[in-house]
Amino acid sequence: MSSLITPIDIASTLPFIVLCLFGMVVLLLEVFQRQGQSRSYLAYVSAVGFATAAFSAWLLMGVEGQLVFHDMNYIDGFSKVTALLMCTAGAVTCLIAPRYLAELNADRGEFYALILFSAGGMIMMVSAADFIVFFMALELMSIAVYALAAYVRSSRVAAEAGFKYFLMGAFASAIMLYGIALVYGATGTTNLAAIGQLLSYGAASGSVDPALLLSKVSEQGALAGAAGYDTTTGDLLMLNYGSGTANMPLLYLGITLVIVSAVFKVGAVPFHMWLPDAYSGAPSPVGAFMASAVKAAAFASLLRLLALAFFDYELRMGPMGWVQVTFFLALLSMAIGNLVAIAQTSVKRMLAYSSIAHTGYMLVAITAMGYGVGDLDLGASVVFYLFAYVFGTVGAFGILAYLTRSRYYVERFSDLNGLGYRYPALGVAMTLFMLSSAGIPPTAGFIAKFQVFKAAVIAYGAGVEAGEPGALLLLALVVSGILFSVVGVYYYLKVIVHLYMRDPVREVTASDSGPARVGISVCAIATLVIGLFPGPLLNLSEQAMSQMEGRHDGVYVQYEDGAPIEDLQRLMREGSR
Amino acid sequence: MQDIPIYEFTLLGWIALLPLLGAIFNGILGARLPRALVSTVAAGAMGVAFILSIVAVWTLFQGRFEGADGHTLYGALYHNVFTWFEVGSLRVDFELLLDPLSAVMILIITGVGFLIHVYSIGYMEGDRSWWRFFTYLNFFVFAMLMLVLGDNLVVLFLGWEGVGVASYLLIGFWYEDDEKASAGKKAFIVNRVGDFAVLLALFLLVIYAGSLSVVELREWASTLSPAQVTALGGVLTAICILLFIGCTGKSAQIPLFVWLPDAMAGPTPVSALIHAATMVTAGVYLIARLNFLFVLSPTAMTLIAVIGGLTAFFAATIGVVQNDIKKVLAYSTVSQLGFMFLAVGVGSFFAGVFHLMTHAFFKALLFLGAGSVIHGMHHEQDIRRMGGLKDYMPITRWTFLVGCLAIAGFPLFSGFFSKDEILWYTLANVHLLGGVNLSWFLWFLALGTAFLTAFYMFRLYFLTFEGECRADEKTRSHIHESPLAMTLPLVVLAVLAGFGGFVGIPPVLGNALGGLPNVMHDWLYQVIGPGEAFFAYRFEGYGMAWMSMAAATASGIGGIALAWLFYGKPSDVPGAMAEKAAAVHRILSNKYYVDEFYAATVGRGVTLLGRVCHRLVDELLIDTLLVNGTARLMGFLGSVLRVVQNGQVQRYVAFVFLGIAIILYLVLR
Amino acid sequence: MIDYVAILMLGLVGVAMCATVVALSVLFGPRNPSRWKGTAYESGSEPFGDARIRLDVKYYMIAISFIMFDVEAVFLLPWAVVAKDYGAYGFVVAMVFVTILVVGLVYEWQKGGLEWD
Repeated sequence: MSSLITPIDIASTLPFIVLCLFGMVVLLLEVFQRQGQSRSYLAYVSAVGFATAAFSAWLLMGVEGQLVFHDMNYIDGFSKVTALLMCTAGAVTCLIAPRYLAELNADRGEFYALILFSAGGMIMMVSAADFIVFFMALELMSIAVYALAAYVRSSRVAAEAGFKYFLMGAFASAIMLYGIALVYGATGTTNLAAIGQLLSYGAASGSVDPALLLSKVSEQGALAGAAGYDTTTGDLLMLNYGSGTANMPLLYLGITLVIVSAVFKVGAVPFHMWLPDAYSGAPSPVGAFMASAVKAAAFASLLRLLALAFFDYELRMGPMGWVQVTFFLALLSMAIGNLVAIAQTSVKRMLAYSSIAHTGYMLVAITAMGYGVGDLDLGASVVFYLFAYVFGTVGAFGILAYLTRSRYYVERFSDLNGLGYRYPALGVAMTLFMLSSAGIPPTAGFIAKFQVFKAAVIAYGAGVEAGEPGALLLLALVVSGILFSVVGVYYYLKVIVHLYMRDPVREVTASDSGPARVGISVCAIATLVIGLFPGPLLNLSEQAMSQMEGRHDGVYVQYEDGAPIEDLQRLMREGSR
Repeated sequence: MQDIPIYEFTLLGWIALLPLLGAIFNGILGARLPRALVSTVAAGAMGVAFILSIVAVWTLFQGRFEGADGHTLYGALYHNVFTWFEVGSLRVDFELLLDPLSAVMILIITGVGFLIHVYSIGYMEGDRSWWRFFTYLNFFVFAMLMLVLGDNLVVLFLGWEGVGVASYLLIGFWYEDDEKASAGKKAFIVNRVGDFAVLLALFLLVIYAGSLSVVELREWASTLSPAQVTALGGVLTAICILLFIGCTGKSAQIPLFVWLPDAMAGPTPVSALIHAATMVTAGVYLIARLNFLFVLSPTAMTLIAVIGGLTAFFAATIGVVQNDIKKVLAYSTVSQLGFMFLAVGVGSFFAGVFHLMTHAFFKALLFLGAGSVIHGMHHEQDIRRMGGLKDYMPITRWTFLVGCLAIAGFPLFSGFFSKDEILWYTLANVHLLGGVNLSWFLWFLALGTAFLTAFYMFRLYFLTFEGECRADEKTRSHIHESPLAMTLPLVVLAVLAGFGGFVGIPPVLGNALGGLPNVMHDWLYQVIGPGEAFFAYRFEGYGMAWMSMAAATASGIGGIALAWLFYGKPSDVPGAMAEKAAAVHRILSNKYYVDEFYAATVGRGVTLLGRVCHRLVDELLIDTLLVNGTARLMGFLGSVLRVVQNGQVQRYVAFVFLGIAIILYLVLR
Repeated sequence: MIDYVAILMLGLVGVAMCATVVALSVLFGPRNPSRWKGTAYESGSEPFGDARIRLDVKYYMIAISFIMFDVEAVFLLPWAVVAKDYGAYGFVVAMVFVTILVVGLVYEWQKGGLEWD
């Protein structure tokens, strides 16, 4: 029977399945345990879950990239590498959490279950091949995180953060859905690769014989929204994309809404308003998770969407292309994120604004990726940046969690005074995280920034060669990015100054939690090691992009013979199902 | 040009690794170990690194052979530690490379560094964070060695940032003092401004040259045809100027020199090692290292020469009126660095590196001497309350005098040779700016600087060591000569500062003395020869060279004489002068108000921008303008929480709508 | 288009049935109106006042449980129709689905979600 689930389907979604299974196990363990007993061991159970999921993703590395689950999911380099990323972030979050939750009198197993479910959603989201699965996974991820943000019920701040995050997130979901609907309306399919192929047909029309195209389509009698019969003549019509797309405001509206909703999750200016409240109001481990895993998942899926569906030249660089959108978002995010971070007195809020700035840097790379002839391999710099960013951010939030004692939040810069001497290892770790965030060698952050800006400069070079208009603007973006990262040094340095060069105002005692120490050490060591030996990770990120299945390569699709057409028809059929 | 053979040499890795190991050892265990062990490890690591450096340089020397053009070449030693990263066509090896230029540098770094470590054992004796000091100091040496040994510019940049961090930590070493901590921060941030330019230059090099390895870049530059150079002209100039901006940050040139005088907040050995002998010369090193690139852009070269010359002169004028012993030396460092940039800017890379070396000797000597004085006077730094110290501290006095003579360019002392080279090449090479030859202008600027240098250095010397002691009774009773650990390095450095110049006898003298070779120039030829070949003498014969040397000597001795007239004996001339030219004096002692200017513009600007963004965008635009209803609620500060809960989400949503509307307008218009 | 006529017919017949039954009861039923019989919910409380009142969270818990079983029924009914064709494979897949729901139920039960007080 055609609808059978094959073993490869199960195997390829193994990371997702493992996480969900562990989530359920954790839930059951939670309810069958007496009240008042410590739940800390669930942190280890969850960490093992993440390790198992990561291990299964790693086992799948050898599997050839392909569509699975009736073309609803991809198993490819990209999904596997990003799954590793989410698993790492999730595992470290689980490790820094238990003592913090105990201190806040919120030691319940649901926390870990929600983290596991949410991470499962992320993995599903970045491997989605279809808007339907994509949206479902997005919701699975988001709903779990809404609950997490409001997890500490006794805290009004956290409840407020959760509430805001929920409202804004639901709002973003609605926008996403609207965008998806519009794109579907314009193309007749929800399959990402099919959308990409359809939308590039017009551009290819110069190199393809329209008659051939029509004959192939009519032979099969494929019907999708993109093709239809002229009611008066009965002729098969192909919507004329390419030059014709300029006349399709609905399509562009849809694409814009989808992109806006995606950058909403990553917190790009001007869609950043919720972010400082949510990151700083939520419990520190949740803040860590939101800032790292959620953002990484959102960025990764944005890469996937752009690379598969919206990578046609006209869509990127046309008068209504998305490159100009990401350009301005990048510029604004870097500016507002860095400048407002300077004015903060709370470390958590500073980290939140700095996270907006990081979003800006990554958007620079995405802009570069889409600029000119378009080079998807430049997206590898984003993947690498995400790794560096995740370790730095989870680590920094983890240290704040580590320092938090019952009902006493470590928030202000002055709370960190002199801690570098009382807790030398902690001081070194925090210094590493700050240096990495500031992009100073030999930390991971330096290589990451280097990669991102290099990507933009390469795109600039290619743009100049191809005679693209406005290539200089891209260079200007790089220059301003580097300048803003210089501004950023100020507030990262402030943390180090407080750690080592200020007298303690108040007694802050670390919670001395074993698992948290493990989690923070992992981040610190990773930050340093990636900075010193970035080679393997760079290769991995390159692989993630180059082995992304279904990605829309190049500008023009060459249709010499019938083969790609049949591929298209298959996708159209399945898309219209 | 001829291919330069490269030999594998594993020992290089150890030279860099030893200080790092020392830093790690002391950083982790230092707090719990006895002082003697901490200092032995730190200084020992340096000593062994110095010995290894000598072995490495000796090995390099052994490999010499005669090149095609008759010059002696030495090849290079390399050691690939590991491949750092490889992206597409760009491969970054963590590769260490020792050629004659980096050989000079590592000898200075490990040699002078070793002496300063020994000196620090005496100087830092009473400090409670003794282990921290040595940890930082060792770490600095490691980073500096990375900087000079790195074959790849990314590795060089790693060291470049590393010395910045170390310098920041050491300037703010006594962080209990707010002013000192902020001096460290200032240094770091000013340096970062320069670093961004370097990073940009690296990107441009990746695009146009496809590599960041110095060896490969050199090959690339040498294969460029004149037509290609013309075509790439703008890019090359941009790269060179961007690199130079980085140098102005690291090496304290106009306009980014403001951090160096403040950096004197650090312990004096730090000033000697980092802010005189090694780190600040990194800019000069970078330009000498990439000379093949810079010579392709006459515009950038002229700019470097002009900035160098101006910095030299202006810093010297400020130095004349400073009263803090370390501040005088700081401005003198800025000024001398200006000299070096002048040298490399006019195309005499040899003179730049040569002056770098002699400067490392005499300026380290002077700083350590000053440290000895400060130590002996119990942290008194104001020269107006010193005087007559020659009886109390004879060793310090004599060595300091040697240093002063060297920096003043007194004949046959080391500074004399290097300064003369710079002046001569400034005059002899042609540097056009908009068709105007700047040679004479720069030469007079340098000559004036030489005069001022001699003047303020001997003002310092006379006020400190000669005449009556102006310290109060209590201090005077405690003045003592420093311990052996401090005086020994002084003596060694004094010997080097005194005789170090003979390795670079200028051709004019060498010729007159019967064909004495310029050892230093021959040694460096392999690296800088091709670059220097781009410039040709304007003058025939040695006539002008004699003239230049005579003028330099005269101005040096003139400065000394004037200082003696003013300060060598009791006199009220300086006071009267200061009164007469009160306005000038005020401007000079306020360092031309550059700090105030930066604070008022850049510093306040950025902070203001941050606040304005916060106020304008987050508060005013969203709170007040967008949603009037919530804006009114903002007035009720008492119910802030309520406002937050009721209002903000709506406001956020309104803002999002506005954002989408603007984007849609942009996209669909 | 002809395929849909059946659905249209079904709809029409349904409406007609309802209309007929209501009409018959109106025509032939006895009528004794009283105050209590005239209220919206004969045995419930009169809904009045602002619609924005706070409801006990317990109502939502029940509603969520209801939806859970409802969704289960929605998926299982079509499955039941074709269960034979799918054989053991179909059974296993359906059981996986049911198991996931059971985990949710167990969790809710243990957490006390099914108790009113």
